[in-house]
Amino acid sequence: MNAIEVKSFVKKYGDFEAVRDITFDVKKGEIFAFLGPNGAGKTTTVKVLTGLLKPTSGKASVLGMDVAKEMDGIKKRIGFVPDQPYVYPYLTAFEYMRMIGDIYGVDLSEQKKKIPELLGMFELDDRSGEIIDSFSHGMKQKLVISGVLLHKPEIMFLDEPLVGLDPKSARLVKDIFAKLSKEGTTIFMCTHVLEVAQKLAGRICIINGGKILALDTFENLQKLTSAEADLESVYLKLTAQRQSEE
Amino acid sequence: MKYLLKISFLSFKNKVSSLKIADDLKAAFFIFIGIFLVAAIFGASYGFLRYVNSVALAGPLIVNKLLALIFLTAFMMTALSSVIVSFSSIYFGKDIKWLLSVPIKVNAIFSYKALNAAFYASWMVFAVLIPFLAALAVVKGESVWFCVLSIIFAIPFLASAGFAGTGFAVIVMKFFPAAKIRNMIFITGAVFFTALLVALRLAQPEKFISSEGFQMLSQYLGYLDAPTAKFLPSWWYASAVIGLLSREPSRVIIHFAMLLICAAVVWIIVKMLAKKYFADGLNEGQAFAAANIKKQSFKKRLPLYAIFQKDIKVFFRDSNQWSQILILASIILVYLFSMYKLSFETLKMHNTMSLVNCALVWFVSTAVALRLSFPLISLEGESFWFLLTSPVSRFKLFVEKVIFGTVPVFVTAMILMFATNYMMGISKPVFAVTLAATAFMSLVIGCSAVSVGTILPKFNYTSIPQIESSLGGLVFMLFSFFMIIANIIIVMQPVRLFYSTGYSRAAFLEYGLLLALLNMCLFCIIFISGYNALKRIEK
Repeated sequence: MNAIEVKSFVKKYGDFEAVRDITFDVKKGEIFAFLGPNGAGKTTTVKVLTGLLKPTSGKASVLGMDVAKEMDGIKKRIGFVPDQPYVYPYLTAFEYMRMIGDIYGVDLSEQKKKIPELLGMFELDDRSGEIIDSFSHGMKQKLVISGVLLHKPEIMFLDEPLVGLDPKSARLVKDIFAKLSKEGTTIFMCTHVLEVAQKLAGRICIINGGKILALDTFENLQKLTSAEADLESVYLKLTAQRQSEE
Repeated sequence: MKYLLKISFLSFKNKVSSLKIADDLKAAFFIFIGIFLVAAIFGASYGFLRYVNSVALAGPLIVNKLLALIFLTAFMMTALSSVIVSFSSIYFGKDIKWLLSVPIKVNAIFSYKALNAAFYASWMVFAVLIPFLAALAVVKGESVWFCVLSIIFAIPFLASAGFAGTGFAVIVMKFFPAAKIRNMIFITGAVFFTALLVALRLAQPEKFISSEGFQMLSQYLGYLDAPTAKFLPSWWYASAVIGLLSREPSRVIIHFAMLLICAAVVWIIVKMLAKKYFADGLNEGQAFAAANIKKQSFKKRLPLYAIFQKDIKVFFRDSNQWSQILILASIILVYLFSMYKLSFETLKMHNTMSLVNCALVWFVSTAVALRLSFPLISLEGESFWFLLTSPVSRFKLFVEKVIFGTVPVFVTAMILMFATNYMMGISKPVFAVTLAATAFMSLVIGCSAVSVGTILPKFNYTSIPQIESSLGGLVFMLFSFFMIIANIIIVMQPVRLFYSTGYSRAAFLEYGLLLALLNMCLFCIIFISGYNALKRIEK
């Protein structure tokens, strides 16, 4: 069974078709990079897979469960890092972590051990008693990532997880994703940092105008576009092709 | 400056041109509500002014005194509102960083923002003044010109208040630590408003229409004729309007000139203050120091209880909410005081007042629900993704919001009903039936506030009053109004029977059951509608 299966999936906002008939699957334990220009449909797809939006038509399943019907079951087993780390501004970092622990049913002894550990890992332990409103964008991002790591989801949906992170934290996050993937966690990542996608992802999906342009390993994408250089060249070639077709 | 005004104009134009049929309907609904409110203000003002004006001997003097008091309140409200708008728009506005980064002079940015703040702080007061002045014109038999001129006079009057509020904000931003200002200003504002409301009520304005408290009639007339806060523009505005009424052109011209000069002088002073302090205040405004909460506990909690605790913490740490609570407390205090002051001479009055009190308590509960329960879903705002992607089902989430929103409404309503019934010395059967009806009603009001807030949420807001004054807030108020009417009609039957023929257990039981049934049905329908709306929410 695949971790994620999407078939003929369409999402419309009124008359505007944000995602047009896309089909793909993501294997368990895979790091799947979802790339595309702004407004390509990446965030919409992630939002449907995490239950924030409802699909207009087509089928999407996560861990074998239909997103249109069994979202409550899915949510227990997934984690989501949004593109903007909006979190309750009047909670402290510690209270936010405790709330996640309790909502996701993380054992109390596990919380006692892991909350200080995660906050320490992201250098937030000194400020765990401060309200989140006083945090910078990067600190909020680190807190949201810590929250997702606390409840150990089977699939992590990450929408631009590295935006706002300092180089040290970005490196730490990349290492964590690679380790989690080896341990069997599936990672679905939207990113504009192509170097990260090239290094970490098993497969790369490039979407533009709501349609999938290409989906394969980096090496196969290179062959497909006859580009010998890095993912940036492949990406630019594919998206430029699409623009000229239009 | 012209570029900045162009931004406002283009934003407005684009908003209008992007309206769809649903928006047109919404706009039509708003226009209808607006016309209804204007008509209601006109009707109420007309009735009241006509009554006061007809008081023997002192009628016209009382009207003049009232004008001075109303304009003083309008001045204070606009100035206070301008302080709050100036903080949120000039110093903490979302666009301020961008505006400062473009090649436009800081001075022009400030002028644009200050004019905006004065407009937003005063338009509602201005809109209320128009039907009030129209009613005054009708009562006094004045022509349309009286209305036109008195409305024109209101412009420099409100502008002075608006500019003064901005000036105060500029000074405060310079001399107080930025981290505390937002809290301080909201609380000061609420305390100020509360004090004004309580003071106005404790002054017992009903005494204006009675000379009992004065030893001599001349003393009473002298009191009415004396200026009220004569160094404030509110008195100059009142004087200009009174001058129009009494056909004294010199009085009108002098006071209108004073209003114009005052607005200009305040604007110049504010600009001078801004030149000196605006940039410093802006730098301060971006800094934010946070309190450190040391308490860290690891107690076992159920998921819903964790969300409940989150809601409580967020509520009490948000200074916007404190000001709401203070204003509510003042309304309740004023209401209790008014009830305490009432005296009943006949059984019929007792009967009528017990029902009127019942309806008023429910209206106060509606006000509590509008402030505390209605915004609950909207307040989740940008952070809503967290709960919507969490394993808490939307049903459980809605139950938590309904409980959180209904408990304060229920507690307030029950305390108010119990206290006012006790103060009025209501007999036991009526006491019981009104208390029971209040229990049902408060549950329905609390639930409907959360439900309507879910059906018509406002996620993009800069302050909580924006959520309350949204379309959803209006719909909730209208809905509550009809629910209150329906419930009062039922409660009226056993109460009337009791005062006319005495206590009948069967009648009380019959109508009690009807009340329970009606409110249970309402509760279920409202709950299901709200839950379905939450299921449909996409973020």
